[in-house]
Amino acid sequence: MSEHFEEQDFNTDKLDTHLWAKIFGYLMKYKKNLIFLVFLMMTIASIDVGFPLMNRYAMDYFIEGKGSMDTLWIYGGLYFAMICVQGLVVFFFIQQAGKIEMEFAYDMRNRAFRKLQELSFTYFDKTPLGWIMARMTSDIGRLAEIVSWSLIDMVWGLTVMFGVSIVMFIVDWKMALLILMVVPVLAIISVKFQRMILDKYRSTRKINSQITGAFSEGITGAKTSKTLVLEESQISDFKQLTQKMSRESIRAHILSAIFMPIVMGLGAFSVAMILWLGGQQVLVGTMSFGTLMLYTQYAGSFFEPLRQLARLLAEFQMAQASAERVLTLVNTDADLIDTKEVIESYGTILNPITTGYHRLKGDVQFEDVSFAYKKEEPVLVNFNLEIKAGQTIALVGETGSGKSTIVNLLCRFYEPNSGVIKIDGIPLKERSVGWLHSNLGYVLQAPHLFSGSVRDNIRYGRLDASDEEIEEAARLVDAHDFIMNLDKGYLTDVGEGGNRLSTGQKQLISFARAVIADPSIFVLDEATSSIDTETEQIIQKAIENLMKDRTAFIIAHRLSTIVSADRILVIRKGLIVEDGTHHELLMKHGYYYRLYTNQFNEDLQNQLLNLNASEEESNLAFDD
Amino acid sequence: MKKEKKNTIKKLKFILTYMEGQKLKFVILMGVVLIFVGLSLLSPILFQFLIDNVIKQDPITNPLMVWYSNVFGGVDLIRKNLWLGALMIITVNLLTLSLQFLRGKWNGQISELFAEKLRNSLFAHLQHMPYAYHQKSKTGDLIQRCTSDVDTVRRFIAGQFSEMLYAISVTIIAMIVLFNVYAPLAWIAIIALPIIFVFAYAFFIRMQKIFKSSDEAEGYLSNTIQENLSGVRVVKAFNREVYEAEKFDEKNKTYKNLTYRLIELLGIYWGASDFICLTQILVVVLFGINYAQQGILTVGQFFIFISYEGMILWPVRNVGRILSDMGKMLVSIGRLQEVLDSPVEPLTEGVTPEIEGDIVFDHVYFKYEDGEQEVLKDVSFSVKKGQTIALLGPTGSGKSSLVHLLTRLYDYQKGSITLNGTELKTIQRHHLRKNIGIVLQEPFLFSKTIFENIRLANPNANERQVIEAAKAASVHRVINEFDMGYKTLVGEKGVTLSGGQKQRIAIARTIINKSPILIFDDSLSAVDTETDAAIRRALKELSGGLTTFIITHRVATAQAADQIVVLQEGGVAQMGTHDELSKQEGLYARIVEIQGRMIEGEAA
Repeated sequence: MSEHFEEQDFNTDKLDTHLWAKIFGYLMKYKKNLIFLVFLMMTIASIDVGFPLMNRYAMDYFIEGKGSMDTLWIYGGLYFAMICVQGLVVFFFIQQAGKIEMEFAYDMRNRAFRKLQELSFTYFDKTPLGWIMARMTSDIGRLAEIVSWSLIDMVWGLTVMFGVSIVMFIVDWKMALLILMVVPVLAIISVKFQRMILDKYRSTRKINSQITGAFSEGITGAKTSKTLVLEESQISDFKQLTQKMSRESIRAHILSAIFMPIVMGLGAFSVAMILWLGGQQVLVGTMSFGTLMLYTQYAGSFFEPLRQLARLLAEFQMAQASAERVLTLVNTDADLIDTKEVIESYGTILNPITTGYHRLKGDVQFEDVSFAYKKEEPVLVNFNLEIKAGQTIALVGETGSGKSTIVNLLCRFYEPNSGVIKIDGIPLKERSVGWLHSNLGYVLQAPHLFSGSVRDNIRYGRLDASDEEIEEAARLVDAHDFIMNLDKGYLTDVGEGGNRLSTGQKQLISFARAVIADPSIFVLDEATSSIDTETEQIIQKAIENLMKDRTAFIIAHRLSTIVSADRILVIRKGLIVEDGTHHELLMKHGYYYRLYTNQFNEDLQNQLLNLNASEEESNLAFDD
Repeated sequence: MKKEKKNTIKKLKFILTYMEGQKLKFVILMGVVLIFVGLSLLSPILFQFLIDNVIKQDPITNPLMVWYSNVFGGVDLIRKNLWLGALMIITVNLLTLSLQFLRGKWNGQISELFAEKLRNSLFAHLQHMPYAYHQKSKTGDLIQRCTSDVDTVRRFIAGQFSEMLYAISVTIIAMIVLFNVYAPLAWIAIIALPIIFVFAYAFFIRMQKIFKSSDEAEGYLSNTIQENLSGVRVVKAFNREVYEAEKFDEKNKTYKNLTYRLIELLGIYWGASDFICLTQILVVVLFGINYAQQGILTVGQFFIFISYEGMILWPVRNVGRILSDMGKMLVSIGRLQEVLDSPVEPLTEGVTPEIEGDIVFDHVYFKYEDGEQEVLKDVSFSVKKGQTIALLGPTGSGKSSLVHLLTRLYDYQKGSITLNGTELKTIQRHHLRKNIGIVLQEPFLFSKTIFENIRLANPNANERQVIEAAKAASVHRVINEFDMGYKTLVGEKGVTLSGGQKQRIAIARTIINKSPILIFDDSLSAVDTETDAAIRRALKELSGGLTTFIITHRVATAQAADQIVVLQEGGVAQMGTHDELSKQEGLYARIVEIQGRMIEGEAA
């Protein structure tokens, strides 16, 4: 199933414009914010270009030229106005970018989560949980950060460079050329270095995710490590990982430590050149002193935007992988889609039309159903089965015989490769999955509870159930007593995944959860394997009543659970090899007989030797 | 207040602990930062010299500059060859930049090695924490602490310490220079400093709380995803997709709103501090113009004021950010300390006697630390080496707790348990667990191959031994049916195994150790009865003197045991062999009766 899963590697050097166009398509929702943001960034860039001009004016007019102090107030006023605008614009652009970032992340997460709710088990079988988690949390987060904040940097950087160039050319084109000469060199170095830095960064991220994985395993597997005394070997494995991490990261740090001085060195170089050549002009009087100062300031203000743009380019290249992965998740095709007609009357999974959810009766038919999890290994081939409503069906067979597959298909967790499954004579495909599931009560061998109270967990079966109904359901499956014995009774927190309870307790609660759902079809997949015999017996009696007019499928190893079924199906290699009641099958002296006698052969010997007193009772049990 | 202070000191100590071995480098780094500051401040003075003395031909007043210009051959020479001035600037910059390189490199080294040490000790600590901790812990939350909180601290150390020193020393030195140049304007130049500092600090206090709640909201968000994914079968089977989507939307919204508020606050901070700083610069410009027109200030000096003002203001404003980052860091350190301060179990403390398999429970009482109810009450029984003990009882009767006590996953409060006469509580945990193999109810397999998983506890085991163990656990055939056989990857990234397959692999990796005592904590529940019997038979053949505890619900399993202990509500309700107990009125006889009915029916 999942052994062939490989994380897609999207690392390419080319910027995939098509992909980014798609991402920005999602951003169009915030068009107004975006336009406002672009406007803000251009304003701030203009102010950045304007300040050195203001300084030049001050230098030339007031200081050198001993200009009149009357105009100083006007000058000061203008300057102050620019400052006010700057302050406001800074606030607004951070606010707007933050808004876009958070809204985009929120929207993508919701989209992805809703998509996950629609996907079938086929997807979850082959996609590791950690992979999905990473997409949902860090990838979306990073993508949102990049699309919002990088946009700011890009607009700002381009506007500043453009504005500075224009002003410089207008004032003195020779000096402008002198500064711009360094720009291509700087651009090449920046792009090269940013790439190298991000490459390193990428490899550290890879190791980082291994570390996260190791932490995750170290924590979930801690109990096992403890019992097997693996602590020290786990720790030493982990240490290798962190060592690799620090080595790689230090390399990345060194790389950027080299890069920044080079960029700034180039800046200093052009400032020096300006001072040399410009200074000579000032000496001979062909250039004003303020202009010289303007150029030294502009020389600096050119390099930061350029560096930012180089960084952005590299960042977009790197985030491409995140973008691709997020889009893959959001656009995953559900392999289990309802037809248009079905959607019309039942709605979709997330927008159901529950008024169309009528109760089902429970007749089940499998007609020539074939199914394989992996193409080359078919589990069911042309499987046929007909069950009348209200019957209790027990499925018996070895692990991997296909019993779970049969109920999985019935629950429409998977879609058969061929053939038709009908409920009440109507193919499953003509009704919605949501409708089917709302009629199901399903109890698993490894029951999963959600963190929260016992009561919330039982209520999961029927959200509008009252506290009394919940208690009633718990009593029915004999869980009430143990629940009351918990520290806070029904309000006890069961912990993550129900961790704070034993498997048996979890099974009982998940049983109550199914009971309260009042389903038409019960599916018990090894539901009582960890429940003690006595409790099981109590449950058995209770659910016999409960199942009287419901169809029930029971998968169990413990034969005591299945003897009272209306029909027992023995499944081997995807085929029904025996079919009948407990009595009928024993008479056949076939596989069931062997399975059954094997399980109890030791019992049998002893019983025969000690002729137990419960003989009469047992005979009674088999009369009906 | 006092307590808070103590906490902060504790947190700073925390940093020092993980900086071990790099303190000298850290001190040198701080020295480098100081020299760097000096050189950065030299640049404007150099400019002033070039402007005033070289270009404008004012007489030199600064003795340092006299010396400096003489090195380059005097002011006149420089004026005639302005490239010498350019060279001066480049020289100073080259020096500054190489220091900057060192600063970047060492910051990287210090912070990364710090993170490495911190991660290692977190991991080690987690491994050494008691079973009870892991029983209760929230995986998602713990992982977040170990990853993103570590990262927050690392990032702070990577840049902020030297940044803070830079800001402080730049401010001090620049102020000294400015006061020397012209004190009245220098006073004007620092008006905004206290304002911006107080503003930054107030902001930092406010941020800390919001950062924490946004961080927590993120934790809840990922927990919700994680739970939804691991419970996807339940979600689908109960048609709860809409409910889940709504629940998620709520968490998603909370996180969004909190974080947006955080960013908005940042916006206010940056906007307002920009306003304050720029206004301060404007004030200096205006007064500077005034003084310059009066002839008090030279052009070059005016230039120094403007340059230094920028050099002081931006770092001081940065102190606000650094403080807010420090807030984040302190929160993160607090969260990490919560993990690191929770007690570990001493694994190598205690005696290491020969463990053979004679066990005596003597009036043992046990309750969980946070529980009120006694889980085990007055449990007494004894086991001889080589015996098989079956533990039966209703759900919650204390069966698992009882076997957990044996490997000291928990310790009992009253009574005594002895192993070959040695009190269990005095025996070293590692020693004990090496000698008592326990297969847990829900075993965890690591993301490794099946082969590696089986020989985890015994890395020296060869292929023959691994296969032998797998055969004994009745899983050899299953493994061979996989495409990759023993090389099949399992765990998170590998194949999905059924509960029974997992249990059997877990059994194989436990028995490979050949420990004298073996415990099955209901670990055969997911395998069919045939396999159950086969495994038990194989174990018997594998080693004769093995003492085995089996928690089971199956009479057939219990029947084969030398002794059956029936637990009810934490106490021993019945004890004896199958024959004895079947005849006794009680729980066991009822179980036998229930499970035995069919046999009678068949026999009749």
